[in-house]
Amino acid sequence: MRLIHQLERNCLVVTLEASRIDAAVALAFKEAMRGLPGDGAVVLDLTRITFVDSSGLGAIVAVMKALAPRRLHLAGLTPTVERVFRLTRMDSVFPIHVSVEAGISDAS
Amino acid sequence: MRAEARQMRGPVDDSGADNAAGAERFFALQFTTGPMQVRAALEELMACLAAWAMPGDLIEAAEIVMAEVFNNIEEHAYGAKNSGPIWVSFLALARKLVVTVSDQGQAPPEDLIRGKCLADIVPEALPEGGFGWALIRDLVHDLRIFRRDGVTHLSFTLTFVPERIRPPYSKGGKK
Repeated sequence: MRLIHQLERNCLVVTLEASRIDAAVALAFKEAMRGLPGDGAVVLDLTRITFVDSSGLGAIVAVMKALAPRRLHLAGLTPTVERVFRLTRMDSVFPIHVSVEAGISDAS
Repeated sequence: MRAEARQMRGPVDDSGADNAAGAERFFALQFTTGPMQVRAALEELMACLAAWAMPGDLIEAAEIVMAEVFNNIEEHAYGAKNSGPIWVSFLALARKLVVTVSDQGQAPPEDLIRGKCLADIVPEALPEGGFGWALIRDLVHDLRIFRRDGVTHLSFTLTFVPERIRPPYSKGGKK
């Protein structure tokens, strides 16, 4: 899975070249999120991600743990993705922002 | 009832053409497991619900549930190294969507229906799994499982009202 990342103020904004984080790409997503440059907070841009299944959710949690002590912020959750985080209450363990810009403001 | 008469006369038309308001809407699909095949099947199933003008809430829930059901069949019933067929049907009734899913994989565990639900998840423990069946159990109603002649049949309904998170089952609460 290809990632695009760019440094904005102190945080690394990561955008995925994908529309879903599901069982088909969960492993590739975890691999791709390894060894991100820098040491500041990471804002994962989910604006274009229309679907996350339980494998994808597990992968995002794994990435959060692997990044520690860097903080993983999630930004721009689409309705179904937001619902998966809310139902599992995993929205309580991530800083979640309405937009990438809001994520950067909070994280930097 | 017209619907019953139709069933008794033979297979229900699954061409998707009979979508007039109030008409019985039935759709069936068969595919072979594989990550990309699951995606393609989900896309087709969601397009069907959209064509039937189902409420957005129900379509969202259906996508979450169907993805988890298919992933579980793929990973556990058939196992990572094998693949096999999955049969799915959707029947839209006035206030609910009746879903059946069948596979020829291994028998599911005994606690499939009364296992952990969403309230059992401890977010602070940062779990990386265990979400799939919890999501299914909480989002669907009338969950049934039937196994015969090496085929597992799963049946459940999705309703047009928002889900409620159920409390955890008490220990020893199995019937």
